[in-house]
Amino acid sequence: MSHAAIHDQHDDHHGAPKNFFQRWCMSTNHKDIGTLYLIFALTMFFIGGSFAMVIRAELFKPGLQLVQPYFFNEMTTMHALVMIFGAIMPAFVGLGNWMIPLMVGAPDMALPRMNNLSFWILPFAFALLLSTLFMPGGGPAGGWTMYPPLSLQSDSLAYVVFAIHLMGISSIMGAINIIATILNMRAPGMDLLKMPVFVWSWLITAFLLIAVMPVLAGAVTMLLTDKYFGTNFFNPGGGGDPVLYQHIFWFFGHPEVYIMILPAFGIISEVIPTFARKPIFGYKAMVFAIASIAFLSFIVWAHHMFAVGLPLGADIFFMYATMLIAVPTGVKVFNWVATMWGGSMTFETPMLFAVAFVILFTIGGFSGLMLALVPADFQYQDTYFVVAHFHYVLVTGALFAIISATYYWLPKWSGRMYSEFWGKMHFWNSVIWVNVLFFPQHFLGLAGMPRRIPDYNVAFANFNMISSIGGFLFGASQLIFLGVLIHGVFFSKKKATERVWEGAKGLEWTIPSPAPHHTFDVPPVIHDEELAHGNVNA
Amino acid sequence: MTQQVTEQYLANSRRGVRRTVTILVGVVVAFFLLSFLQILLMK
Amino acid sequence: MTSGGIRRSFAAWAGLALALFGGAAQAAPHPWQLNMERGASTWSQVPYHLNNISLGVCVVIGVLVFGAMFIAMFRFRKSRGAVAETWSHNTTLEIVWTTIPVLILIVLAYLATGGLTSWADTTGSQMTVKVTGYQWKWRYDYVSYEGKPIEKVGFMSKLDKLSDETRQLDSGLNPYAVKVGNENTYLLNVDKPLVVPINTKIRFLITGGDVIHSWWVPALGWKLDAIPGIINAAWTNIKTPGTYRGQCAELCGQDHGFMPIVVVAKSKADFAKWLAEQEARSGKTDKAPAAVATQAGSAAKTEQLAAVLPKVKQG
Repeated sequence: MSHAAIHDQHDDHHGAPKNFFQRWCMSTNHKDIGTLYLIFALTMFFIGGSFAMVIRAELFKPGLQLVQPYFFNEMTTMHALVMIFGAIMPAFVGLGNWMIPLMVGAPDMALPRMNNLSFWILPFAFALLLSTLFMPGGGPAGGWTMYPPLSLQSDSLAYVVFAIHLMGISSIMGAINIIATILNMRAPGMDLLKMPVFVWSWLITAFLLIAVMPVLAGAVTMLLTDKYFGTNFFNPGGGGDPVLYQHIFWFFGHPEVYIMILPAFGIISEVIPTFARKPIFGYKAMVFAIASIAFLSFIVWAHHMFAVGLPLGADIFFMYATMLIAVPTGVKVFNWVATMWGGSMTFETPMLFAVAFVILFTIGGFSGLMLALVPADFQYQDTYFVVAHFHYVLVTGALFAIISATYYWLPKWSGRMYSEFWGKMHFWNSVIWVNVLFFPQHFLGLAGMPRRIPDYNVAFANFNMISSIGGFLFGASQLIFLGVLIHGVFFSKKKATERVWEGAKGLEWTIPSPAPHHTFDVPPVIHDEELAHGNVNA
Repeated sequence: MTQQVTEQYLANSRRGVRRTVTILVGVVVAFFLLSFLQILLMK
Repeated sequence: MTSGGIRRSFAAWAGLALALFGGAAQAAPHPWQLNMERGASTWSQVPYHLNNISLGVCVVIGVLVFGAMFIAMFRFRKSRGAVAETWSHNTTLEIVWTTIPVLILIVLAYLATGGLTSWADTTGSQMTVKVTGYQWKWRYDYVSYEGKPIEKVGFMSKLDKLSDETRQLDSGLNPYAVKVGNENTYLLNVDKPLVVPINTKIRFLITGGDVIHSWWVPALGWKLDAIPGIINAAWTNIKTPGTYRGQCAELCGQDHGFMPIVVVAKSKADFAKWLAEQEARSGKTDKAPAAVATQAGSAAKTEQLAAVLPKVKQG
């Protein structure tokens, strides 16, 4: 009977297509599309990173040495857009594509052809976005937030808006696909509350994407019509309101921040139990914490706008709501520590990055709590303190989790073990230099250095130089990562076992390494004790 | 480590996918329009 | 080391820490500055104290959490023969670490709300100054002082000439050489500063002429966006005479980094003298703000709104 059921997938049964174009450009296979997403994200990571190098080089010492202020602003804007929409988000989608079907025992994503489309939109979107840098008028230079009226002065606004529309469509389709897969494609017996935390985190993240990407699309559409079609949504001269844009943007923007961190929570909740050889502490609390953070993300947007002069009541409401987020986030951190407590730990590269994540993300969380206090935020807002804060949560948070996940699952993807020595070299270099890079930025912000400035008073010189040195070396450390990946995918002699890690649990570790082109054509049988979080009902 | 599934199971999951997608597309459109609606709410 | 040596080195460290973490009122940032400044207004210690308190709370929590983590990482290593346990809940513990953060947050929220409420109260001001942000300079218009309206005292304030020449790409000029007296003022000096009296509750009406800017002098303790079409209100009451420097804090185009703010606080007597001089001089030269506005539409709107100022409390 099982054979009859899978008969219509007959065509796919011969492994991966040999033809390069057919295999990669026309793929409907979740693993190949996941790989494409990850390669794309890595490419964008280096492109966005090179923009960051320009920024740090110009800020190396006071005085303008390398670039004009306008180009500097293009760099900060593009660095953010490329890293957010090109590196972090596609990396998570890639990990989700690869791992979600394997973790819930599904043969593929629910909508494989749409999956192909959601990926292949992205290269075009970014070609459109990056091409603006070579245009006579220059690229967008009004910050990734694109606040009008400033963003309306840009000649490349239309390109940016269309690029964002494409990215949004891609993300929405990806999110629909993930929700449809998780809700309908689980193997019989894989109840919702037996899913790995990573799958849970992606399910919730996908709902955030569904709700907020259309709002971003609406906001940038209004920018477009304001500039080219004479509408006055944000033009005070015509009765519009520039602050309205900020409300709409941050209604998208704050959940967007959590879109970039919730899957990271999921990853860390997979990695730590594996290397502590102990089930995740408080599985249901972890899931509930992610859901409450997601819910709260919709009612805190104006904490990005404390300096725009909101009514007192609004300031107070958004301050309280923001502070509340510290509670579920704290629960997650405590639960990770409790997972480690009483375990039997080893510290392979994925675990090192996960441990660094917990500590450094928490530091980012602390500065987040400080930023939530409105009177203090009147000082912090738009300074390097904020820059330090969000780089702690996005670089040592989201990015470290992605790197951890890459080391964790790479042997499953490629069938070879990466070099543990060079993985550890990558880790120690990254973790040291990222702190040299971002920690002094707290001091700069507290001393009064605004963000997004190409030049500064000499009082800020010392810490900027330290920060730049950290930046160059952190950037260089990522070349080690590239080397480890190339070696681990193509050249490593050490074959990976099925389970790869001694303490690894969950369905993805029951299939061979490398994962065959097609898996779980016939749903697996679920054994509760085989799941990463133990038997929840026990 | 496999288990038997019925045609019925697959048909259900297909119908589920279709229903999920329909609902989610509706939500997407609703939120897109909602972003414009906010203008009325805030003025 | 002898105990005396320890004590001496402790004292030295404490002195260094005090120097680095501030304490004395500072008018401008200084090299190696680690913490927020206390500021020079009656309100500016609110963010300063909140910053220190919340930082202290975070440090304590951090020490506890990271401490527990490091103990776990040492005690429960496989290489030390640790055997993994199997428990994965502890309801008491979970309740405790949900409740304690809530209690801490309530205290912080209480402190912050009090500070915020006092900030929002712009009533009872003795002086009103209108601040308008332009690409890339500030305009100050003196509206009233001690109940009397001020006519035609208003001027543009932009980056000083020396900083402006030095900051050009490949200018060959040394930023360290841009000084006023002993103080380096590179990018923190203007041709014409805003002059205000001390011990006076000054209400600022802040708006934008073209794009959004943000008016920020760290010594006053707050920043507030200058938004076209909207008039934001905030107040300050400076306690000590001095020169207080700040910068635009909202990206406003290519020269966003080059539109500093300088506030010179004078004694009431000196200020009265300065104001009289300005009023006398403005009789001859007439500079209407609309003449410098680049976007006639939004400037007109701003002027319109300025006419209904007394009714506007907060943007």
